[in-house]
Amino acid sequence: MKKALLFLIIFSILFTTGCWDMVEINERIYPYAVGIDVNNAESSEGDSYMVTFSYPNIFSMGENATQEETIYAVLSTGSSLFDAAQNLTSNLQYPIYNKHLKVLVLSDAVARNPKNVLGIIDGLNRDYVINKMIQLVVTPKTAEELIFGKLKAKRQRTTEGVLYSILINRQNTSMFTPKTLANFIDDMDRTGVSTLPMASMVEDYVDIAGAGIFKNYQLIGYIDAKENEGIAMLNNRIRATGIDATYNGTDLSILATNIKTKKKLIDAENLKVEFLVKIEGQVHEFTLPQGNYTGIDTEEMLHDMEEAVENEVKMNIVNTLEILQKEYQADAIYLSDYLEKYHPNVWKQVKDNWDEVFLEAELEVDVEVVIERRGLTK
Amino acid sequence: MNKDPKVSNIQIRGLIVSTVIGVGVLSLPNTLTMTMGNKGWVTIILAGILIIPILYIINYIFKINPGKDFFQIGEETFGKIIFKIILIIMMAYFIDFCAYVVRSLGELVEAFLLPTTPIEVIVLSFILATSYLATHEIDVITRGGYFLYPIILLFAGIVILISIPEADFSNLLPLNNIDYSQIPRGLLDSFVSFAGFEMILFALPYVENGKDSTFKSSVYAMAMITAIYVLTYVVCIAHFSVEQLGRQLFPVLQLVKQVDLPGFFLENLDGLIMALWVLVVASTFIPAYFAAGKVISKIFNLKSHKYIILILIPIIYFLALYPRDILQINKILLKPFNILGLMTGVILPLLFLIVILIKKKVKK
Repeated sequence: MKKALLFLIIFSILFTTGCWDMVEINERIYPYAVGIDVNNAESSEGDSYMVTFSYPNIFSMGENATQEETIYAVLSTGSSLFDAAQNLTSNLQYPIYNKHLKVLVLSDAVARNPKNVLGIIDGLNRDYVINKMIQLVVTPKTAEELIFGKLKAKRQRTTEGVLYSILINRQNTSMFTPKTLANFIDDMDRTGVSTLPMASMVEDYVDIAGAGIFKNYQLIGYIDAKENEGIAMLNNRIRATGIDATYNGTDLSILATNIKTKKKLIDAENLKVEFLVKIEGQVHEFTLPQGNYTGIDTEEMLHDMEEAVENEVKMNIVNTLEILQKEYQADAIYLSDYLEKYHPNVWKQVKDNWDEVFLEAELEVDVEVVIERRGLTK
Repeated sequence: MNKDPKVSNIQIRGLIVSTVIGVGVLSLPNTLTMTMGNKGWVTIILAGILIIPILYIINYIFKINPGKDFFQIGEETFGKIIFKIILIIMMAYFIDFCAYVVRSLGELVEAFLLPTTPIEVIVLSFILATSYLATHEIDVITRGGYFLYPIILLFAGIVILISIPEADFSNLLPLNNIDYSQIPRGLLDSFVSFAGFEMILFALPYVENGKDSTFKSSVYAMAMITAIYVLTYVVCIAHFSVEQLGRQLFPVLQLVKQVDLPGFFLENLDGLIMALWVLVVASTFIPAYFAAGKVISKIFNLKSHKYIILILIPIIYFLALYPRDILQINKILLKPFNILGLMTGVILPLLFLIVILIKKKVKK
């Protein structure tokens, strides 16, 4: 009796268990970039977005590739990203699986409307599958153009996707500051202001530089690469960058390897805050005028060079701060966060009308450059 | 069971840690930020400290009644009828405990690991699998808890370690703006996540040697739990701002999802953490399940709780699946769990102490 029971159990395990609903990895479509546009078509039927998915074509990989096209892009409409993926099922051979989604592109028209941005961000954050570290990007034109455009960018082709490989920023650039979904939400909660890198097609190539400024989940404007560098410096977001200045009429290029900024509240009454930017670096390139072969060998000369760089950096930061204060009234430099954490009493007084206080705040910039090395030559 | 079960001090420690750390650890940072802002660690530490006197009382009760177990002492101090009422309250508590734990497990496993498996299957198979261990006596339960104890430390260790590189500890600032009016609420929230330590009521009488250091080892376990909770809370706060933490139902899972270790070779660690977490939950569920069976068997004066465990399978199953959605889970299962937990965890030991002290005075 016992043996018969055991047999029955083993037998039933054979037939009732197993991966009956398994999905092979090549039977799924893994989009790595998704672009969201506003749907302007007449027959939109409540589908407010046009969503572009781009995914790698796995049949083009490996030794015995059967197809040549390495990336495909498809367009769909829907009331959300998930709805659009759902609507695509009629012309895709495999289901879309978003676990490895890397980049989300918001078009200008979508980003200008806070309702859209809030909805999209909420959807992404609520979903169980989507990775919260996906990179967000804003494009001044349409996302469709960017995603279909990147198919043509043959030189920049990589297996993980063009946008993503540029965004993870192995080149240590300060032209843009990558921002993940989690960072974006964090920024919005802390200061209500965030910046997303701006991507566009320049001729046939994807170009990411500058940023779109978001305030309360709404795109309010763009800044260029130079201003983005200013913000990144103040936020300690740069690992290394080149700084160009002029010294004695010649070009001087510095490679800044260590940039640290400290905020300091000087006057609580008028909200006077000092930014102390400390830069360590080395000389990148410095051509002397013809006939002068002394090189960089006096301390005064080095000091003067440092001063030239200091002025250059300071000018840029002051300019950036002015744009943030006067043009956008957007606290992208985490000033409110700083006050809340380190000066809670001051913050209590100003938090109710922070926008006006920020507009009037006296922001002082102090730059300190130390050129530690001059390179291999004098 | 003719031979007496034996338990060692280190197993007591394992039992407390593995029973207490369970479902709550995933959502504790969220519930605490709702009341305490970024000062949740204050109430975790406070709750941990406040539990130490309770542990002392429980130890004291057993010390002055050597050789007797919890049920004998209870009957002697309160009398049969009152003690039966107490036991009924405890029964409700442990059954609700089980139902809440297994339902939360089912919800999360379905969402994160097995999206197409019906929750009924997850819940039922979990109860069936654990019921085997729960039919044994306390020594086996304690050994089971001690066996799973390193897995819990591993779970907590992974969560804390992987999140340190990207943490921003300035989120803990400012340090001095504690809202004192919220402390009782926060304390209650923290206390709930310490529920389960009353399991030592069943285990303490069977400690074989070194009875004096039992108190020390239970305090040690409590300190460990407090440390794990505080560290988890701190890394969560360091990753999310207060607003975001208040919005997230399971911040620890979200945290693990967001971790991106350098080199990108490990991403999406939620699967691993969930798999470990199932074991963590099992180590909470089994002692509670055992306790429910034991208490019921004493109510009906049965010799063994073995069959009670089997009878409890459908009861826990239906109770766990009764709430319709996550909001109802909180209303129907979590709220009574909090109240009953307070009654068995705090009020019961205090009652014991008061009655024993009064009896002593009267005798004199």
